[in-house]
Amino acid sequence: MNALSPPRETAAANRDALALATLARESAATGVERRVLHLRLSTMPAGRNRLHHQRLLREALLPLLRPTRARLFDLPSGDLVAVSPPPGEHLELVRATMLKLLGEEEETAAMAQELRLPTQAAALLAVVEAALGLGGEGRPASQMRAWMQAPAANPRAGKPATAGDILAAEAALARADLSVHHRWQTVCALVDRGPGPQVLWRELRLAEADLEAALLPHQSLDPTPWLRRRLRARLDKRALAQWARPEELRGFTPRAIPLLPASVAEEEFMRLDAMLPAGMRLQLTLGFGLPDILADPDAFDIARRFARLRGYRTAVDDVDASLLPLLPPDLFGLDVLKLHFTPALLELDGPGRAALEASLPAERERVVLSGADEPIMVGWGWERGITRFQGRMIEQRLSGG
Amino acid sequence: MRQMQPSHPSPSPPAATLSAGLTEMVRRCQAAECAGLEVPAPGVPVIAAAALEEAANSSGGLVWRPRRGGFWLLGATQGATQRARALIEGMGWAATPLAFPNDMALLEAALAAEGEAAGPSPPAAAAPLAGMEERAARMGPEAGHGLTTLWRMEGAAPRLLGQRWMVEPEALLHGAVEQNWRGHAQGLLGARLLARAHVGQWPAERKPTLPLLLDMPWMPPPEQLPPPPDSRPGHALVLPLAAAADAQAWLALAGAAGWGLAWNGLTASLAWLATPERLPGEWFFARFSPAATEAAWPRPERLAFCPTGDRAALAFALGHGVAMCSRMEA
Repeated sequence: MNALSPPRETAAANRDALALATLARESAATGVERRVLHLRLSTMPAGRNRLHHQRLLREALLPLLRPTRARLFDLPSGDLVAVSPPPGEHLELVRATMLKLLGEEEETAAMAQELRLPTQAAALLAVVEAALGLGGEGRPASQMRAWMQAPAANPRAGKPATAGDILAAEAALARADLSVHHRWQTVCALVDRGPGPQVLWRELRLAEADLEAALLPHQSLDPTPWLRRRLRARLDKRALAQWARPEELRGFTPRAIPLLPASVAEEEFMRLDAMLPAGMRLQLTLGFGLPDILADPDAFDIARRFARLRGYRTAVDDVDASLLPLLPPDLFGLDVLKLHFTPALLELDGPGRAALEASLPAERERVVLSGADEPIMVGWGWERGITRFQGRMIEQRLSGG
Repeated sequence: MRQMQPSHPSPSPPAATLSAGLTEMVRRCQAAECAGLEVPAPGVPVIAAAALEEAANSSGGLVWRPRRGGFWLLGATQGATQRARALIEGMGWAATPLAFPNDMALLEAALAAEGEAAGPSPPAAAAPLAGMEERAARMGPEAGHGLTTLWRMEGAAPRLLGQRWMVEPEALLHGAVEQNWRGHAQGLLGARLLARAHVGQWPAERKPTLPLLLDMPWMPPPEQLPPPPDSRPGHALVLPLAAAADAQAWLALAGAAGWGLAWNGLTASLAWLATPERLPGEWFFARFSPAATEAAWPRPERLAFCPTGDRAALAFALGHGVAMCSRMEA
């Protein structure tokens, strides 16, 4: 605990810290965006590191935040953290005010750190841990901290990933808490001039880029796609093992999970399958990426056949429009096409649009436009008869943002 | 209470010793009407086992796994057996329904064979996965790849169509290895081929009159490619189908360097891809399977079975003008 914090405020500050950790985790789980301003008052320059300075600053900043939808968290370390829905311009006003109060010196400027949720949820959780005094030397590191800190000392940074690196990453995965890297996204029906978004199912995705960066910092898997697939296969197994528990199946609602085709023939999937009654299997959509299908067509043949026989719904996951020519007209017999929005779609000329529309299933309810982050993308979908969407805009509408 | 006996080395139990559960189930099959299923060689044992276990659990049956492989569902109800059978046959695997006690002779024969069956052989020692990059780097310049000849029967004589400089991942990894590791090994060896091409080290057995097809690793399109060995037409880079998402980028890059494209890894279920409108390529390499004879190949004259396959493959290839691959010595 920070020595400057008055004892009577400790409990409240601890509650704030835990509430902030919860908010970070929820944002990571749902993908809802937030802007964060971390005012590191505990690092205030020498001569100013006094309680009354902090109080003065807090009193000056609170009125700036009060009329907005921002929340202020008062951490045990004396730090303040303001969290706001995007765009969060008022956070910039807060930062400017702080600099005006403390003087615009280099070390003062470094006291204000901007973070974005959900992408920097791990960094925000580290702030909370430090504020709670969990970062002290000699204390046993929590699993999560070990997970987040271990990559910082990667001796193989900058070198191409090897099989040995992947095996080491798999060992780290075995003890890691992956929940911070899970993102639940909602697929909704949203019609023009209709009611608000109607939830159809929720999809569990993994923040793969963040996870790779945590597991193999400063090592790119781009040149070694087979190694990336190997890591994804292990992540699939972890996600499936997590779902195959009785407590996870209580209150089972329609949901989806993207998988490598080969993951369907793994023990973990068989355990989940054995636990799901037929009615629940109908509520589970298995998504397969087109590059993954092409990389392992034999495994895909088995996966789609098994899924059909057992009554799962299936989807071609996140297809870039440029790859639509690689899709057969019957979508390999899968139920749903998830078309990923890219700005290039807005630039299609007339023939290009016509070709694209012709390559979509005529039953447009089988199409989901993913990556729908802005209203213009939903509008583009409506013009093509698409009424099912997934993306930041949907999440914001659902959260009232 | 039994007295402790002097310690003697106890004889090994006979190989045919059945577990108590299996013994009890055999008795039940002898004594009462029940159903069963034999699944001799499922394509994916994990799935077959799960289907049979589900049937056994729901109907008081048991799944027996003989040492010789396959599965037997014993002592189940007719309904549970039917559901398991529908799933297994739906997956395309053979399953023989059994009705006990009438089919006891089949079960007894299998149990007798179990006594003669050798125990499970230890898995072949697999090459370690870690360090495969260093092993690839240490391999001799001629190791890990080979030259195969692409040919087709035209009239009564074979016509040579090209030579494929192929990677051989078995040189780096052997035994049962997961597909992603095998792919990585192919990538490492493909990168070696590419490095040799960059310095003009073409295979010594190359026939200058034939186009060269060069196996490429699955990787992002590089900034620069080496030129082909000469300016004759028909040289092509053989990409794994996994790289199809980058087909246009590869096409431009390869074309600028003087190569065409070919694709490796086609299956019967992806036969429709083998058209220039979908996938630009000079050649499409597929592994032969019985399903290949049923597929509608849009351009069989651009298709090659590699490896060549069995008599059925040969017959289909001869009948449809499909090309095949053979090592030089063949």
